[in-house]
Amino acid sequence: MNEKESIQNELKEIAPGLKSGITTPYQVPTNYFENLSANVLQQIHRQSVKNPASLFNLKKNSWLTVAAAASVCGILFASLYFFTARQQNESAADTTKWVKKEITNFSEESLSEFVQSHAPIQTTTPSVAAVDNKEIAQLVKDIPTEELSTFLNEIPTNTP
Amino acid sequence: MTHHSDQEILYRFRQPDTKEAAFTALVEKYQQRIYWHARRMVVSHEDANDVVQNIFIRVWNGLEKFREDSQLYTWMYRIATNECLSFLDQQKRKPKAHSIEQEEGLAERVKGDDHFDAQKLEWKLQIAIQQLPEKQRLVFTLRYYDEMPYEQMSKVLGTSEGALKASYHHAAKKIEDYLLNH
Repeated sequence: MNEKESIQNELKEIAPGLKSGITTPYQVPTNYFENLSANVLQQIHRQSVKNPASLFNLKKNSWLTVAAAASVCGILFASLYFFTARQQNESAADTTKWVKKEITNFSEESLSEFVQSHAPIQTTTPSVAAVDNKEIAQLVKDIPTEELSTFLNEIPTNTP
Repeated sequence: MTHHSDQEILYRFRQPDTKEAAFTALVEKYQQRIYWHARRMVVSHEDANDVVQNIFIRVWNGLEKFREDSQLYTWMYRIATNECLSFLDQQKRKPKAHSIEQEEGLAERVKGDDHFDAQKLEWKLQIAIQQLPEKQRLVFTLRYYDEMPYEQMSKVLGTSEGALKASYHHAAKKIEDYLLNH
């Protein structure tokens, strides 16, 4: 049994009052089907002139463009940062290496002599050196002169 | 008119120098079926013509990417059905004066046809069809006029064969009732 017969039998069973094979009564303008494919192609050509295909549609892919640009910038900045940091580390390491190498050329005696002769510089803290004279005068104004003389006699005289 | 096979049309469509000739062959092969499918859904020739043009433009745009895991005919019917449904949906959203408010609106359009004859069975059948809900109308016309098997209809409409059979039975009963009472 083909599909047509199967449909007719089905219809007889479910709706015997409805005949099969009733045609569609609508009319179509003369030559409509003869010209349809040409009309459709004309429409397609008109649309392709209106919206020519571009190699890269910026508007359509704007988010993609921004994301790609941001990624490239990110990669460039990260590379630059890591390259600079590495160079600084290498330079510090080179300095330490040079000092260690050079220091072996000096005897222990000459080194201790150097340290002793430069000791006062190391003991002088920048905070003390930077104290203002006016501030000192303000701090010591209530201290009796005798107490100050006693204090000055007690401290060593080789401080700058 | 001799019709080319679907495979031949697809092959020629993918070659730039035979693309348009292949498309012309495709339109000529399927235009009647697609037109009548649309016309039964939207009723007037002018609307059917607009819908058919859109259907074939969609086919042109999608044919290169068409994967041959479904039949070309089924794929085109799916496009045609979606285009008809979106056209009817747009009509419903238009202001009242220009819209097809309900199924009765489409029946009124049938009555407004220049060749309408209330005594003729084929016109009565059209009025009865236009009073069906959209989905039943689709199923009934695909089965009754296009003689489409349920299996193929299931692929076109994305509905199970069982649901389509039930839908067709309801539609046929309603139409029979209408014809017996008018």
